[in-house]
Amino acid sequence: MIVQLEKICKSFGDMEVIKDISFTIDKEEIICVLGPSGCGKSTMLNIISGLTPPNRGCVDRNTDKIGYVFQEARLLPWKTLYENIKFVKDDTPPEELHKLISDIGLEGFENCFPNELSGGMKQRCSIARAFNYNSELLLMDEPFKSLDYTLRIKMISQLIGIWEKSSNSILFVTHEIDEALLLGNRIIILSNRPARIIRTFEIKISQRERKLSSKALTEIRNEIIDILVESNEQAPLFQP
Amino acid sequence: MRASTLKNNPRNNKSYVIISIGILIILWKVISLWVGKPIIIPSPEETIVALIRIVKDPESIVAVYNTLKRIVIGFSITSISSILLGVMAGFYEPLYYGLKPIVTIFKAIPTMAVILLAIIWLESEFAPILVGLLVAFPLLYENVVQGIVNIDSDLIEMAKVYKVGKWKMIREIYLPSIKSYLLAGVSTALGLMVKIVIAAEVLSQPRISIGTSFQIEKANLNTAGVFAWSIIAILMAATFDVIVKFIKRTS
Ligand SMILES: Nc1ncnc2c1ncn2[C@@H]1O[C@H](COP(=O)(O)OP(=O)(O)OP(=O)(O)O)[C@@H](O)[C@H]1O
Ligand SMILES: [Mg+2]
Repeated sequence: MIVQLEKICKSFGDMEVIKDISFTIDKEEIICVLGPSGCGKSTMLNIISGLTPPNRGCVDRNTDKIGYVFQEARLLPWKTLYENIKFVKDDTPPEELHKLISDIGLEGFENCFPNELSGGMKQRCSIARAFNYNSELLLMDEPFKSLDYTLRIKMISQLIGIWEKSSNSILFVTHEIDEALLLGNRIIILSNRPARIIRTFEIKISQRERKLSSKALTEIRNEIIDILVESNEQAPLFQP
Repeated sequence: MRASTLKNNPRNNKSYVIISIGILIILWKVISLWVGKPIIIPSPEETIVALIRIVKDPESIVAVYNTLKRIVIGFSITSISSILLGVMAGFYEPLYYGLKPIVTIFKAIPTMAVILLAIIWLESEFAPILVGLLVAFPLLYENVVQGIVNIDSDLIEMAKVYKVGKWKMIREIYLPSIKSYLLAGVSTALGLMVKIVIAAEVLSQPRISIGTSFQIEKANLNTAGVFAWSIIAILMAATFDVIVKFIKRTS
């Protein structure tokens, strides 16, 4: 177990955002979180990272090496892409940093400042920064949201590669069901605000062997869509 | 940020500055001809002659040096105190509100009153320093506070998650955030100090100084001399500006 959440509750003023969320993240496990916009996913990550204290419940952490790809890139505007990635771990050898940069397809932009990068490039820079940190727990808040389809697929397989090598745990928030199907050992579905866990799926197939068109994954996908639509009767998210 | 029109084509824009200076000089010449009395508006040539006389006089160098010294001393004191207090007030709200009345008084009190009080309290050599630093303080202080308040808390959170050390956080996040505010404040404060210190010197009459020289030229009814000293003061302010801009660019 790397992190355990027990009956976490969080409100902002009168607004309840998280209600009684409990789950554990095990070592070397990827958990994907799906949930409606504004339900409290980012808030949950902030609580796990220790940035936001919960109102009730407790978070047990077995590590203090937590990496966090925030929903926004959060780069230092006065540092270049290279320096931003280096910022969280100064002693990474330059060859490794350059390898990291070329792996995410940003070679040639090492000396650009964030205001000279596109949204997706900034996002990838923030992902590379998290990879550079060698965390034991990696929190990712919609990390691939501004990337095109092929880049997304590439990043997913790269993430799996890095995860296999470093054997860290990943908590991955996304709105894309397919991302969750390809990545997650478990998929947690959250309700509308206040967020509760309405369902957890477990996928036993190894990430490398998954195919979106396979029967197992298609079944899970359909079930997830049903749950999401059902939990949001008034304004359907999807029309399956 | 890249689309600011003032930043485009710096070379072209410089030519506008030169054109503008040319027009001003022509206008000045025309007005001086039209008024016809050098004691009211001296012509550019008369001013140049006066300027050359002043520059050749070794005492003028001492005057510029003395005034410069006052500005630098006053500015050093005010910048150190305003950075220290500004940083503390930026992080600690009670101090900010505690200092607020004092800063407001410094800001609102007429400069002339400060000058007169300083002359009453201090020797004529030191009074202008006190005046300069009191007038510049609220300006720098408020810029520092603004810089601290406007630090992006998202970046601080990011650094906290990644366990970035305190010193690195100050060096790499706090200082760069405050820098632009601080430099903007420094640039305005220095320009203001040139004016205020000289004004205080005109009244307090220290032995040799730009302000005293102004007073002497005026007493001799030498308006061209007053104009010439004004040009020296303007050049001084412009030099400070260039230095600040240089620091801004290199750091
Ligand atoms: N610091 C805060 N103060 C007050 N309210 C907040 C704060 N942070 C979040 N909220 C509120 O909490 C709710 C959940 O926000 P959160 O950012 O966790 O949603 P989310 O699930 O990440 O949404 P999205 O998918 O759009 O990113 C929102 O209604 C938001 O207005
Ligand atoms: Mg969010």
